[in-house]
Amino acid sequence: MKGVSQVSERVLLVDDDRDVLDLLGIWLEADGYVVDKAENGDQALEQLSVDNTDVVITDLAMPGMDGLALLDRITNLYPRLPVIMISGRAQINDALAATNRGVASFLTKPVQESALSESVNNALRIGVLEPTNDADMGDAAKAILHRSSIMRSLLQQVRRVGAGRSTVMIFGETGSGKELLAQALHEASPRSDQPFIAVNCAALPEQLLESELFGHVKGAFTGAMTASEGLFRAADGGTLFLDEVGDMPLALQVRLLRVLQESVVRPVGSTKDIPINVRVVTATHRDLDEMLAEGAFREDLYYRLNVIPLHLPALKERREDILLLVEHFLGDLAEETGEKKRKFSPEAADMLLRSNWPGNVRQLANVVEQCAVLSNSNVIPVCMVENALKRDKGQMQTLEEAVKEFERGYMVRLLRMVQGNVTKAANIAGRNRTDFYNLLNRHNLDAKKFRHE
Amino acid sequence: MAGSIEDKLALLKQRYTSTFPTKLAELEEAKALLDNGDRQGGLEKLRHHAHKLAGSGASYGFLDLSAQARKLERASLDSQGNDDSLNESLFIEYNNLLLLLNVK
Repeated sequence: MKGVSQVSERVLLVDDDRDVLDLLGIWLEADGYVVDKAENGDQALEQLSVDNTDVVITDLAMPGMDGLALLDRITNLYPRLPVIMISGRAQINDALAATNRGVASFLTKPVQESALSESVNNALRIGVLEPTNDADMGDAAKAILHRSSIMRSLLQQVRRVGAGRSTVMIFGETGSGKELLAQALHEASPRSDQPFIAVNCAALPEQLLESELFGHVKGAFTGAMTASEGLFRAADGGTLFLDEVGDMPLALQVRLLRVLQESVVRPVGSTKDIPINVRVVTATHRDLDEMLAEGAFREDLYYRLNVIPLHLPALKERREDILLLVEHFLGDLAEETGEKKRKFSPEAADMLLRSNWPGNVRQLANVVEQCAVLSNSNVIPVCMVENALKRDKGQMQTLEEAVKEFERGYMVRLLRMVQGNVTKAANIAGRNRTDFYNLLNRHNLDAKKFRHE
Repeated sequence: MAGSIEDKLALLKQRYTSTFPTKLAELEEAKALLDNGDRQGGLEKLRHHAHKLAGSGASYGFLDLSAQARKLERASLDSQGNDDSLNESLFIEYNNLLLLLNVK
């Protein structure tokens, strides 16, 4: 059943078999979709040109333009439009090939009503499985999961900028993935086989940051028992990523400027300049214009660093990517725990889509993990997302709420561990069976559900 | 509303069943092409009609029809890939499918 929107989505069904077309049409109408029908590829393309279709379901084997040819045409004309492919078992290999050509999913004939409903729902939520067109990009770029046009443009920019030598400044909110983008930039550059080193300028006190960046000679300061080459030299030939550069103290900003101007680094306590060849990429979540006006950031350094600005959008500006990321996080969690991959109920997914995500991708990952860990069923209900978002906003729970939540989480983990065996669980919890059953009732947990997870 | 969907589905199933004589005639025409020496045309038509029946039958609740049609589709494909003689199972599966369509 539909869940994302109250507005009826439009489904275009394409099959040369009228019997299939009519039956699937009724099933989809019963699910609340507006259904258009076409008996061949040409009719389908004509229909697409006049109506705002949300998803296409097409048969694979059709006379004239077959399903794969239609898929190719649709992918070219409407790259964001999800296409579900239906195939007979005899064409299963062709159908599998279609998954590499951008098909959202495929169904095998004879189609089951529930499978059809689920596929359409998923296609509308998750959209097109993008064909991998970033084969020449590095692992970091591939790890930046996206289907939004804003991220696609950004990665194209990264690809272009990567080839050059200019310094790059990445602007983006906390948790939006600035380091990953910097790494993608490094991997897209001719320096990709050289080191990529990242350092957070806000995480270290001034003296330590100075020594970390520029290195020091033995005895340069108390405790400098040995010499250190520093991160600039360690990154020689490669890329140094200075995160939160807006937090760098003014004294170090002067030294950084000199490194950029003269391509030499002078370790603390040394009088010798050492030539280096490092591409510097920086990032900040701070308003540098304001800092310039206040004199807290050097203007000459700012212009040196900000030769090419890259703006990483906040998650709320790329909502199309949310469910793709959610799927990825759930998959990772399932792999880590060895448990069945969980999924969000339609209402829960809707809430994930609508939230503002001030903590961006990092916050989304946290919320997904909290929900997956605490949920005792495979389908995560909307109330768990509500609670996780509440927790993540830092809203204080009452002591009673916190205790109840801890207790429930403990029970769920315990039941999973003992696979629903109440006797074992009660023993480990240090309770008798009656007490333990009372606890199960209090938290509305059913031990049997944990027996086959 | 649920009732009207049920009504529509019942009507659709009735309409589907009423096309069995036509489907049977289409299969017989395809077989006639084979009998008249149009091997390629006959096999292609048999495969095509069997494919459609296999794809639709079970969705309408006729699981046996889909299964039998799939056997004929497979046999047609096997025969298409064999230049020497028609696959013997082709005729068995063809007859079995006709039998099923006749009794529905």
